[in-house]
Amino acid sequence: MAQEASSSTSSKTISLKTGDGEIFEIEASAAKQMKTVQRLIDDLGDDITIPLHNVFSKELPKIIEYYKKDITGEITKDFEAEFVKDLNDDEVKVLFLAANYLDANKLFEFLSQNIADRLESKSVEYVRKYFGVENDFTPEEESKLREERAWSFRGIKEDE
Amino acid sequence: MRSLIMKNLLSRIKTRRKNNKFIRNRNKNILKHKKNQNRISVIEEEEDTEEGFSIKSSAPSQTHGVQPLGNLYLNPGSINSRDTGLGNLHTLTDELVLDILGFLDGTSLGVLASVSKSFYVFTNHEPIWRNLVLDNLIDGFQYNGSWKSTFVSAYYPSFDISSSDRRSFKVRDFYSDYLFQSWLCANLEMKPEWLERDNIVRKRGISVEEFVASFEEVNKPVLLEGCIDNWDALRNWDRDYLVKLCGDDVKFAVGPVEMKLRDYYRYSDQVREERPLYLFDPKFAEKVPKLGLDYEVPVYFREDLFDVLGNERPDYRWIIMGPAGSGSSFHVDPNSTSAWNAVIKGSKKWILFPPDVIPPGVHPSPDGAEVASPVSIIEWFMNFYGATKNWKKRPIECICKAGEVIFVPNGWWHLVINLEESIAITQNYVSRRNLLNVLDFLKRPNASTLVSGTKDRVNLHDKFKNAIEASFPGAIDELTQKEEEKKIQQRKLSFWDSVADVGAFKFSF
Repeated sequence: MAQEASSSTSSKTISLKTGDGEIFEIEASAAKQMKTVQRLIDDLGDDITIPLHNVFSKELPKIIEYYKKDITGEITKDFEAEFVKDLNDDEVKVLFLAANYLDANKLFEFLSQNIADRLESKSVEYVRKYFGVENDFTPEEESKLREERAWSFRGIKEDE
Repeated sequence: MRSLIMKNLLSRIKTRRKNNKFIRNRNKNILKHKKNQNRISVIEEEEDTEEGFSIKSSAPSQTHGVQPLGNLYLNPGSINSRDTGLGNLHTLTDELVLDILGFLDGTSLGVLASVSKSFYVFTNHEPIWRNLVLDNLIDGFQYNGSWKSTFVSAYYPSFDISSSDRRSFKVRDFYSDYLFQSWLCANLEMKPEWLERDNIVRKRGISVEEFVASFEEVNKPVLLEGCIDNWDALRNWDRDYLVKLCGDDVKFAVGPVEMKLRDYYRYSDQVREERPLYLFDPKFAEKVPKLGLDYEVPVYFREDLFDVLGNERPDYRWIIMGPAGSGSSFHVDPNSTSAWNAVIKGSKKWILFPPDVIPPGVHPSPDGAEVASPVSIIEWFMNFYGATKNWKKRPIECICKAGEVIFVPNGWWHLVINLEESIAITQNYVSRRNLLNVLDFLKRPNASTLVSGTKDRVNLHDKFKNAIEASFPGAIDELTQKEEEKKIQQRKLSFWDSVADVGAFKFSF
């Protein structure tokens, strides 16, 4: 299917439909930054509402907000700090996974750093709950491990 | 020696750049699997026969039981503990998981090892710990069996890391191509068939004129034998001599850190990794003058016009020391200079492609500032060397041994790998033959980023040109004129060549 010339995309908006059925509009230039969206546009055309099954109405507006700033070249450290300031760990995680799904590189990198920052000094139990990880060590293995990494026990927020 | 049968090897493409940022798979030649949004890239290698690989017989590094994904597919019904152990993160590629872990400090990484078997494997990935060491222990380090041990023993000296290393355990049902291949490349031997081809021209005792006419002027590589026989370095440079000479006060550049020679040997004796660090120092003769006196520039390369810049010339000579497996993946030397490389101890395998032939698997950016190529040299051999057999444009290959010197003409792509622990000296230089090329190169707008080793990169072109004019007035004009005449000659020749080909054209009067 022939691609339309991008001369008309400067003011063109793309419709995105979240997994829970809500529709949001973004500029075509912002959509370009989300490679998954761009691939869908390439396949389906830019007149159709693009379905995003794995992204929901809670997080998509935040992502759109980020890329609105990005296309005007206004992303600064301050902006990014503000962006995540009021988000709790779960909200950041959801955004981060959505950015991965959307293949939105810049946002993903920034959120990865933020997640890593939040992980510092957290306990093993916290991390398991956070990512929904099942503990697949036997009790013997766990105690062997604790010995192996006894050096890392300092500075943990929760009890070990 | 164990041998492994491998098919469908995963090729991890990384772009070599100054600043390390996330590189999602940009390479358009990679097939993408869109299943579950996993960005796992596979380059399918057509092997005529199933070929075995040999693992280094001495102490392979920790694998923790990681298996390639192919094994999972052969085990229907088996689960991958990689995924169950990552929770929400399992949708990320291995590289992305590792990138995130790369942001953490050592303590956090240590803690995370207990989260699950998957986290255990990921947080023990040696390259992460290598980065932590190289970023933080910039004044040198004492390698302690593994990068993780090195880090822990540096920051937690009272902890007995060595006994815990022996107790570290294997995980079952963990499948990951990326991690498996990382381990594989760290432990593979060079296959004999990669070392068989030796088609470089070898010369012994030729005159400088013959070298210039037959090789330098026509930009052809050559291996020169017997021209460094008088070097004291060949007689003297063994470990004891060098350690004694350099002492504990001198530190040499090893990647991003500086370290004592003694500590470097400690590392190179123990290391087992994909891209071993090598000692590569452009100020070796300034740091230890006797090193500079133990060798002299071979007679063929004594015309070096960058000399006119004196102390302001870019870096031009390096001592290179590295263990087996260390080396440099495909690149072109900066500044458009030519180079020679003399092996003092050990041996190096070279592969060279002419300037207009980009090696398979290598993807330079248009300005040449970035080169995307496989992560390690072994990986290039595994995935791309075979392709060169059937190419019309075959590379030039050789093994350069102690006492031999290779001439690398300007612009040629080259890859080098040490086949054993090796010491070499290399210099870049500019002769009249490539003076104009170098000046042209320095005029380019992005030359300041591409020129290595000068403080004042921006003005290098003007400085150099002026210095040449001062020492050799009229030389540049003379050379430019010669070039013009050559071009006209070539145009004339090619016209008549084309005319001769066109059967229809006849002299009919």
